Amino acid sequence: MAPPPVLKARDISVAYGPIRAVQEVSITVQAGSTTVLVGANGAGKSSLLKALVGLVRMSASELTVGGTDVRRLNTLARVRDLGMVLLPEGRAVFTGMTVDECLEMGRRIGHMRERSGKVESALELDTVFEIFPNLKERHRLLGQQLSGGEQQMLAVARALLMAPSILLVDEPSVGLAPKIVKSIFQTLEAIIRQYKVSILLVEQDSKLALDVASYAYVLSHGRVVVEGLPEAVRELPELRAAYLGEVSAVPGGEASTASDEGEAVNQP
Amino acid sequence: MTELVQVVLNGLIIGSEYVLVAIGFTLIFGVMGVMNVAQADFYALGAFVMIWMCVNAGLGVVAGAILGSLSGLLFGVLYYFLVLSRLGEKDFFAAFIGSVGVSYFIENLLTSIVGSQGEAVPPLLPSTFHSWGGLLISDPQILLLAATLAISVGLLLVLKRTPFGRDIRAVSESRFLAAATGVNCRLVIIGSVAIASVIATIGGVLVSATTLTITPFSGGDVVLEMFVVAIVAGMGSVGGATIVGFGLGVIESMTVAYIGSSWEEVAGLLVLVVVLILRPQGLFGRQVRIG
Repeated sequence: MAPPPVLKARDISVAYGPIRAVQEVSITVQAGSTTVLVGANGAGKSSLLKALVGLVRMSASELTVGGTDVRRLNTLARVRDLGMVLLPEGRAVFTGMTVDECLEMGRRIGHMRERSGKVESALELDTVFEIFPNLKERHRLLGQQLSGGEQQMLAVARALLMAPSILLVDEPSVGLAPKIVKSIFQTLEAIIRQYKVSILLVEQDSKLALDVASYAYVLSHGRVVVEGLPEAVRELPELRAAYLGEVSAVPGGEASTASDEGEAVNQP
Repeated sequence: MTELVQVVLNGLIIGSEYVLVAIGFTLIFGVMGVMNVAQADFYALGAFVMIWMCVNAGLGVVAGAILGSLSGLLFGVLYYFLVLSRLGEKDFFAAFIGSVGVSYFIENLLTSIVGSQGEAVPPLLPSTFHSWGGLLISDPQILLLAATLAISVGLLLVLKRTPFGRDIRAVSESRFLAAATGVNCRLVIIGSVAIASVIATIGGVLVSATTLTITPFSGGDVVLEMFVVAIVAGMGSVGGATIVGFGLGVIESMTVAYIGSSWEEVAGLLVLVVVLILRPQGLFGRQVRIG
């Protein structure tokens, strides 16, 4: 029997006032896999990730991490006890802190998780500096003195030090040159292979994301319109439609209609 | 020459008061984005607690001073749970107006207890003046000056060198990112409010030890200076508030000595206007975060 999924979410909805950003989205992330969620700008991807770690209000009929129901837990508990580590969009580093301090922020959580027996061993700074030699060279610089690519690397390094059970990565490609994006994705792939981290990656650039994916969801207007193995999803018309906003024209795109009280869609 | 040095020294003593209210004010703004007007009234509260402990509870002056100084911890935590936690997270103006309300409440509560004339403060130290090469300074003034320096340097060290200080800086920069990085933001905010309030009450005890009198409006009287110092320094900058607080004291002291005492408050506002025209983010502020 397959091991239980790291993350199982059913019917996640997020609303900002009258605006329904995420509507009854259900996703599952298997242990050690890289699950991606692709979709155009404004499809609700970031809101979904924030909802998963409890940083925005949401409703869900199920949300478990490693089998634990996290719906009533606050962000602090989700991060420290369950290892849900969000890597926010756009060079998420503390600009007024040195590289060392920023990494220390992450390592502290890793150590906490180690001490409380949540993980066997958290990564050490040396290991992280091996993965990111650039950061070692610049360990005394402030976050704001780093290049965009280095800032993204620093954010990834900090997240890894937190000993995540699931890493929620929000749009790592935003605002970076294609070449740097490529190297970040290569680093992510290497990390996935070596450390068997489970990743939920949200990304606008579907081509890049599907290349590293083991399973993919396509999000459009706050709903999952299609899901499947990346090779299959890549060829589906729904993928293109999700970006062109023609969802309603796609047969089987049942989530596309504006029905407000729809039942849970897309049961796997 | 001696006269000039004396004027500067007097300015630093006046500035201590501004520093002690402004660094707490700026600290709370940093972590919560709240303009906490009531900060200055905690300063008066500290002195009154000391008086009550000495006069009404019959404690010694030193014990009263210590309790008065520490009373800010209690006031800060209460203030957070009763007011800031309910308003501060929602919107800037609600919290701002809320703190103005608390400020009025404290001032009027104190007035109804002690009257508007205020009370004499039991002397913590004898206020005889020493003459150091022609410079006049009293023991309470030395204590005030030394404590102000120690507190602001100490707070800066806490911010730069300790894990809790690092958390405060993290929350000040981005509460969202801090939360995602596993920082206990609520604890950091409560801790910061408590630290800010205790610095204010320490200030009340030490300043009133030099003036030997306190009124319910002693806090309200420094609100303007508190704003000027924190804004000129750059909101959120503790080191900046220390330098600007002392600087404003010296400017006021010089204005009184060389121009005339009626210009004292004008000097501070003039500095505010000039600095804001030249550097809208303040002298030590970064060009981020407006509310």
